[in-house]
Amino acid sequence: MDMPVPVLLIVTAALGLGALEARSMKLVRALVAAAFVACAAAMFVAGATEVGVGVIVAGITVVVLLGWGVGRTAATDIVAAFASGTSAMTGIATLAAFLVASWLALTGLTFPAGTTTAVHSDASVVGLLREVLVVVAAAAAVWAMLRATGRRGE
Amino acid sequence: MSVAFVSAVLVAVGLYGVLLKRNLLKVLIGVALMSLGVASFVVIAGSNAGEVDAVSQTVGLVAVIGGGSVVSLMIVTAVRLHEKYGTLDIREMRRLKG
Repeated sequence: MDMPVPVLLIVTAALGLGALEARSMKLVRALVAAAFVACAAAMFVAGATEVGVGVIVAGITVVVLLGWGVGRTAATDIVAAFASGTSAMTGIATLAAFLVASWLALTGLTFPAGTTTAVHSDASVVGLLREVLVVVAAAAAVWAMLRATGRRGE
Repeated sequence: MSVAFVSAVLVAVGLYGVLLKRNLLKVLIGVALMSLGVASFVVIAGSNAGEVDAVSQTVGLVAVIGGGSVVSLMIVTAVRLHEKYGTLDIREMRRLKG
């Protein structure tokens, strides 16, 4: 995998984070478009031409519709302030758990194709802990999303 | 740092938008970022020596097009909700429901 690919994906994540934090919805739209372009470039560099074209098509659709939606709603995000309270803390904990579980689960993918790691070949405690962390992180994410949308118990 | 973990970071950024943002349009942007992260992860998982497996490309294409379609549909729904409630704040919508 070429080095520009992770760099472009980090740029995509940074642009997406900027879009989520920006107040001006026009700026949000521009940053989302830039994020799609960066991701498409990463796909082209990685050799996944079909996915790159798909990202461009999806990006055009989403950005055009986002512009239409912004035009019919509000030009400024008046609720851009960071959420607070128990649910926000739960969300942050969920994100941290997701990143830790991802790190533990994905370290095995850094080896060349066709090789197996010790974690894969043995059902070790670390491997079991990794699977448990993935399940717990997924359950926490589902619970937090249900709580955030107020649909728990329905 | 693992390249696949970078994709997980992209998914985490989208998850941050879904979990912690109150503006419905930004929640949908989070969903779009998550679909990009999943597609890039599938591509990276199927790549070897600069070539990407055809199955990975197909699955990645389905992920990104499916995600884009869902987000597009939900943007229209968000505009309709704004017309009904007069706000894009999901907490206000919850307070006004019924």
